[in-house]
Amino acid sequence: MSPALLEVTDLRHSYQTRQGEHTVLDGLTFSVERGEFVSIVGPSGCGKTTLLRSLSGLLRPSGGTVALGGTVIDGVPQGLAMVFQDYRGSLFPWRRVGENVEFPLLGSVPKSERRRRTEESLEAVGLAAAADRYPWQLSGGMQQRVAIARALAMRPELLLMDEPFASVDAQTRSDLEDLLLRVREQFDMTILFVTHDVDESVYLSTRVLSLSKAPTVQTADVTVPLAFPRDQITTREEGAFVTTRSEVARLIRQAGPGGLAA
Amino acid sequence: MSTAVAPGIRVQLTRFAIGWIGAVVLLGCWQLATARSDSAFFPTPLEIVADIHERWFSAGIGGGVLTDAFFQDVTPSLQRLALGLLVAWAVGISLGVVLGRVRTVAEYLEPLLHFMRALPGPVLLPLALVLVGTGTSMRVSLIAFGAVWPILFNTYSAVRQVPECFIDNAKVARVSRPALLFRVILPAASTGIFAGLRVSTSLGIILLIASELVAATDGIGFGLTQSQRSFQFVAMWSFIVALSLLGYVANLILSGVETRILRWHRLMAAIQD
Repeated sequence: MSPALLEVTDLRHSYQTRQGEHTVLDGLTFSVERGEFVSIVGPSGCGKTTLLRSLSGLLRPSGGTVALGGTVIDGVPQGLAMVFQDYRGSLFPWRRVGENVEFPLLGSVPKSERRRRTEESLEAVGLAAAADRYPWQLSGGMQQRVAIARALAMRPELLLMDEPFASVDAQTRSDLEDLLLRVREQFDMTILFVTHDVDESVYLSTRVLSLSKAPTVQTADVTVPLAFPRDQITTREEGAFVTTRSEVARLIRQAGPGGLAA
Repeated sequence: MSTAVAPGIRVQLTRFAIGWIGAVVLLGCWQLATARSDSAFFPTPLEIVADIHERWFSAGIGGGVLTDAFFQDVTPSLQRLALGLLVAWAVGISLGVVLGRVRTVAEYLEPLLHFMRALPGPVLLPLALVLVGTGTSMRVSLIAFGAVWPILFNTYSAVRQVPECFIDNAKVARVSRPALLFRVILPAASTGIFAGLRVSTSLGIILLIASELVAATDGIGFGLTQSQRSFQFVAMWSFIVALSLLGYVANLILSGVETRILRWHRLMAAIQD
């Protein structure tokens, strides 16, 4: 059997504060298979950002291992892209939209291929016409689509997303969710999606992991029994959607005081 | 929202005209006031212009317009200034980037650098004379030493303030270290760096003149003191005007480059107002 795409084993992280050692992650173990869409939900302050920074190689965890495609990572691995919550800090304001999308390919991909991928990625997020504008000339939702296009241009096997839709309005958010499901299909990616929104996690995913408050451990692993393609109205009406959502919400509430209400 | 960011060409022309009308009126008053007085210290602007033309630009089209005196008076100063500023910018920007990115280096060097910055450049003139002699290298190093501080500290602070998320995004894209520096850190810090370039340029001009006041045989500063000591007041004024023109042109070049490189920043600021 080939190894899982992402294998997290006994991941621990703590850092020193004036009050002593503060443990954020306390032995997380899970894996993500190719083709899955896994959401991670948890109450605020559950170390989701620390987790994603460890998975992307930006942060060296205090203990445990992260393996991508069977290889334990040490630094930022190949085949991985990440979309951050703050799109303003993700896109470079001095580069035009197309130049931002092209950025990760500079120096590694020949020019004609760069141009092709940039166009294709912008096309996929419906922003082909905005290539020559600057990111700050676009709305928040459009900027986040540019950030997604940049991730697509990298052709990642695994796409990490850190609460990517948390700072846009509700309508834009639904649009972005559906857009994400479409490009996942089109580009055949595995996605690990961190959110604090239970509805969103169930609507998007094939599997939901829930985390406890820090020191964080995994509290549940729920498979979402819903078919694709999903629909903002009909999927959310299905009985399976409602029961799964309640199950996840209950698990989060049990995970600690101050968790999200269902 | 992307349109109507830059003011229309007509507005720009009007502003330009207003600025020049002010200058012309002032010159007119100066001309009138000096023409009435018979003080030898205050020649009229027309006399000064005539002198400048005669002195530096009267070689004729065939002779390349510029006179030999131009190469004696102006060119050496330009060379010293350009060289001194280049050294200051190269050292200031590189060291500023290192300080801004490597915390430990900053902790070790910062107090020392602040102490050195507190020394006014001209104070080092006697020392420079002893150490590097009276040649061009003395003047260039004096300019470089004095002009390095604003560019160094501006770069340092601008680089330190580059948002960490820009760096994270670049790292996830697995960019090389040079690419991180040239494609992310320097562009993100460019507004601060340019502010430093401007200040260091005006400081450089001051130091240029200071350095040419001692043990020099050519240059604007030399010409200025020389004509003053020999009671050639029209010539003295010509040198003063040459100096202000030097500063004006230097600033013009810098803002031209800045307008091109920081176009995105100007447009972004206009939108966010």
